[in-house]
Amino acid sequence: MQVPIRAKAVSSPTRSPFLRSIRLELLGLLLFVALFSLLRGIGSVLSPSGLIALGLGMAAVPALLWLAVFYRIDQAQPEPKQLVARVYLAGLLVAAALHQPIYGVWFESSRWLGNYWWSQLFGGILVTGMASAAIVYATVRATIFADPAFDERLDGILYAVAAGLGVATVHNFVYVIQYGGVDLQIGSIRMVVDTLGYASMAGVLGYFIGQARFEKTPLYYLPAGVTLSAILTGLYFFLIDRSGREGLHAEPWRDLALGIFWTLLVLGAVSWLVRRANEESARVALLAGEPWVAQDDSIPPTGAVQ
Amino acid sequence: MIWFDRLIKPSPTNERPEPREHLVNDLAVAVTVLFAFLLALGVRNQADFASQFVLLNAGAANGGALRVAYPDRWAVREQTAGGFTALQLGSPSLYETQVTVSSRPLGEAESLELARFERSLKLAASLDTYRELTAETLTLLNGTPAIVTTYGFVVDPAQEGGAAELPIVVKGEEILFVAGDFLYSVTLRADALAWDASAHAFAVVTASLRLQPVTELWADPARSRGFDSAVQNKGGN
Repeated sequence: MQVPIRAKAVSSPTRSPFLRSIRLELLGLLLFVALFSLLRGIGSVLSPSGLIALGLGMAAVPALLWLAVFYRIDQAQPEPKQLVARVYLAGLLVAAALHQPIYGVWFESSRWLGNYWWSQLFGGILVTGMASAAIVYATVRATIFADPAFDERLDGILYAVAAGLGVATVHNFVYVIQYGGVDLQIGSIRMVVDTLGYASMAGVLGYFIGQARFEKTPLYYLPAGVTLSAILTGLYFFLIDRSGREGLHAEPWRDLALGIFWTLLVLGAVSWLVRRANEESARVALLAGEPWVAQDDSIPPTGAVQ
Repeated sequence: MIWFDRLIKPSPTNERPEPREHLVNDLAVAVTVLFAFLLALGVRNQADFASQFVLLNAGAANGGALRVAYPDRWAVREQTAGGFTALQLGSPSLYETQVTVSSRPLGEAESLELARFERSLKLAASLDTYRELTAETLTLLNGTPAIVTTYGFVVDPAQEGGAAELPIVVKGEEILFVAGDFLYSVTLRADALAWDASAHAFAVVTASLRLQPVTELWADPARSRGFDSAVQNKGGN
């Protein structure tokens, strides 16, 4: 009997290019912010519609950059690009369709959400967090969950992040439209920070979705994943907002640093959990004498492990 | 650390779920989200109706004291024993959304209708382009009659604060009633364009007065006695 357990020790061959790609993407995000910092004066010479068009372009760039980052995480068994793009677009469309009904009509969140620390925290969790988690879950479930391409736990994270980036893009669009364009420096940082938040919390939910795809889970398991993702989303935006409230001016660069730190922390934890889950599954299979095929991100592209 | 083990390995075996179990999971997620949304409505309600109270004419006899709420985030500009003004500092208009409560002893043989007539004359004389829109009789908590008048007038920011802006049409609602030996006037005002957006804030004030349409009870003479703040306070404001 041969159980294709993938050893953790072999992760080093992939780690280097992966980390390099992460560094490149982070560099891309910083360049994005720096570019708009340099162009901050351009907003005053653009017409309102030109400014909105520019802002809409800005809204999509961070999402696409992060999509590239998360896509590279799965480079051992990369998912078809068109599938990832489809999930991203589906998340975007669902979020666009539900944004106004949820935030404008049902909850009228602009009226009360930011009034008190407690309304911001609990409203952030129960409205913003829950709505984005529900959209991510519904999108993944409807578009890719039953697809044969969804063949490893890590795919749950990847596709959930893609859907989460769709949600983030819509929030950024709305931000631009609400303010009739944006302050190009603060706006660009805010978009990167928001995108980081939605993507990483969707990744948390993606872990649970990945688990539920491949093994029986208790009834509370996925609701717990949705709830945890919503709590982290609400907490993230609460902390970002509160930490930047010193005096009368915001601290966008500190927000950006906090956002990147939080995202790396959350995604590091989630990736570690996936690896542990795969190891556990392999161990159970070994004890039961059954074959177990479950890849994780520690598999080198050559597959020269066994 | 059982919870952590379950987080990593929810199934003790590697058994794959049936399609039906995925549907059950969907249902569980939907219930969770709906429950969270219900809680969110509760949070919204708390935020909408968060308020502070002012007790006016505290020592007045015959139930003349009045406890009025105003939105928690508004700032009190002026306060005396018998009145106050609270403003919404972050008003969307140059004209700040506000509530003003004032009171004075009721004159001998002075009725609510007479007081309202005098008040209308005073407003017409003091406000630019004053126009009364509606006037109706409602009741407060314990059946006390109140005359509610809505009106409009124009404020010129250039004269008020020196700002070179267009004149603003202000909408106002005045609730006039007698409590004990006092005549109370509760005035709500906002830029007419921001009136609807201020509805929740104004509801905090009117809810504390328990303003409601006239019912059959109001027709009962036994209930049309003077305003009793003790009853109002007992009402849980």
